[in-house]
Amino acid sequence: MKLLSLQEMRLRYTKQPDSFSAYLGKVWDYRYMIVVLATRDLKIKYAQTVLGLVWTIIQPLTGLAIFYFFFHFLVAMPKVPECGYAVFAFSGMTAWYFFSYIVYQGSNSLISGQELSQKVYFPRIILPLSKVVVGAVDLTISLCLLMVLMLVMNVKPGWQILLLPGFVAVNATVGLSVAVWLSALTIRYRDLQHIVPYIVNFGIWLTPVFFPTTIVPDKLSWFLYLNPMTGVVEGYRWCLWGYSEFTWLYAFGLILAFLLLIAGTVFFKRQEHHMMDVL
Amino acid sequence: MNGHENIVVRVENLDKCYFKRDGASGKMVPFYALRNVSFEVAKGEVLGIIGKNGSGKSTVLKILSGITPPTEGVVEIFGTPSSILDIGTGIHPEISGRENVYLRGQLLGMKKQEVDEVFEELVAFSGVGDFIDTAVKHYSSGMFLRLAFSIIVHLRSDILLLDEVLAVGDASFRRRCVAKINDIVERGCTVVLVSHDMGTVMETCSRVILLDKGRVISIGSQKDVVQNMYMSGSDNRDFKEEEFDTPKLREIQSEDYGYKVERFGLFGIDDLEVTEFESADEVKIRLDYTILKNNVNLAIGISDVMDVRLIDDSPVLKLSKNNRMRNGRYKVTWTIPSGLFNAGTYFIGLYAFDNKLRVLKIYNRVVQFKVTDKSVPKYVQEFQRAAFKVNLRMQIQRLAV
Repeated sequence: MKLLSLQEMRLRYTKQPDSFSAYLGKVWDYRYMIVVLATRDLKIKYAQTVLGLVWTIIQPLTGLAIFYFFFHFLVAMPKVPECGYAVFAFSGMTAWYFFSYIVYQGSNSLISGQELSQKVYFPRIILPLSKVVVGAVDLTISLCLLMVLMLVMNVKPGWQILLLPGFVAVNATVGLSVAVWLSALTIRYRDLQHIVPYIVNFGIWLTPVFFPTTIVPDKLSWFLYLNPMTGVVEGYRWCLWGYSEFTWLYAFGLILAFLLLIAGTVFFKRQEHHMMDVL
Repeated sequence: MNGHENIVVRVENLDKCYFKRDGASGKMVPFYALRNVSFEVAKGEVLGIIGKNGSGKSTVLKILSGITPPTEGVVEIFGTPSSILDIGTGIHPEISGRENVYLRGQLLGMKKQEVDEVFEELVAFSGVGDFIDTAVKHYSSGMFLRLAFSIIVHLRSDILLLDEVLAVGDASFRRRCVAKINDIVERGCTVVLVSHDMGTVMETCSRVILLDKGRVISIGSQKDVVQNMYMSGSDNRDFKEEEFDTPKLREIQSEDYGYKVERFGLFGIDDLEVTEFESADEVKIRLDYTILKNNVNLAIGISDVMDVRLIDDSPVLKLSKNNRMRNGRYKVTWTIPSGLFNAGTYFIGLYAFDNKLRVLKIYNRVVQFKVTDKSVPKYVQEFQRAAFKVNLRMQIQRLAV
């Protein structure tokens, strides 16, 4: 039997919240919980659904069909690269859907998970984090679909595809930074929940998902890059099928998202301390 | 503090303040759920926290498990705790028992391999058998509780924090759970349990804390604390004066199980029904009932206000083996001898069970009675407990239907 001295395993609760580093340490200790909660979500999601996985495939394909019909067939989108509109739009949608899943589910995760969090202790930021993992499963399926689509359209990926995980990580960071802020804020201000559909439904038009950045007048394109998701979407396209040129503007989004995430975590931690008394 | 070697939980001057909206002024006013609570728990101890609803007992556990921070004071825990504040949290009805065992186990801090190790034993203990791969929503409520509880008692942690979870399930399963807890404790685990059910506390705890309105009223051996609770004057009087809902006699006619209760109550020597009597009086409990179906019979149980069972008895104990479960009309009387009860309120419950002594149905607190005692001044009334090994005089009359 493994002997640990009791002093090593000491937990201490006072009115003082944990320090930031101690909090991150706790999140690390409870990292298995991210997987457990994500597994639970996935099991529940697919339990009792006849079509199961098929839904995850049908949803993005339906979206693609609708947008293809409107923006390519009815209104021909100009300046679409050689790969064809389907690949162009779908690679943008893949990134956007991942982002919107994290924002939707993550910002609501504290409220939807309160039944659990009132009974079991774990750092609460685990809740939005676990949604990233669930979203990543959908993302993987979407990416596979995209690969099939690229194969059909005869679009070949280059060496840059190796950098895709990096852009996926940036994508997750951007989503998480919004989710962490919103989830912490919704505890006190429930009406902020209504802001989420705005971000997701209107944000997609401020991000070059369906249109190439080149149709935006030069004077305004810098404005597009203030949105960190622009860099993510363009980055996906660059590393998947060599769209446009790599630009350090991609990194701008990352830095912005990262700062937002750090600040969000600090804020979240402050809220978390008294969260259970407010929920 | 240079701490005692064996202390695993230390709670010092704990305050917990909530804010509630004052009805009259509409302002937020502070409300203390806990006030200056201090105690220590040594390794291998089973500490029970008792008190009425709203006494703060569950808040103590919430703070111990880290779910909510204290307003003042310090909590220190040496070891890995598992807190079970609700029996079935995290168990999802749509997914199978097996998947739920793994998820719930992991939610409570077990590793997957650790669940693997105890899985067989756990399923055997729960008795859900083949249903383990069925979605939990198809379980009966009994199966659900047994599965949920099996997960808890198979956890590998140093400190178990349990909130009311022992108060569930049928009597025989509960008994196995209590035995299992004792097992765990023997292996060196420490338990802090919150309960309003005195029976559970009596069976399992080595030390008890009584809370009232967020303060510690007394702390010590079960006997001392319970004595304190019964004897203490003003603060706990409402324990005794409460009005209880009792099932009506006509509800106790179970077509399913096949019995009908015609009369159940306390009767004085003049054969008039009484609800209150002097301790020095001799009274009779009368139970007239009909068994319509073989293999069923009834038992009575007298318990005190804290639901601690003091006396159990059933006609089957007096009948010969062949006659035990025969149908017919029964007229049973028990005599309560003079001076048996101390002053206080008591209840008589009714239990239906089958020939394998499985409990089919429990009717708690069917008859309520109050005992007064003029002969003894209140402050010397002696503490009385489950150690009541009394055999009431029983007379049985059986008539064919």
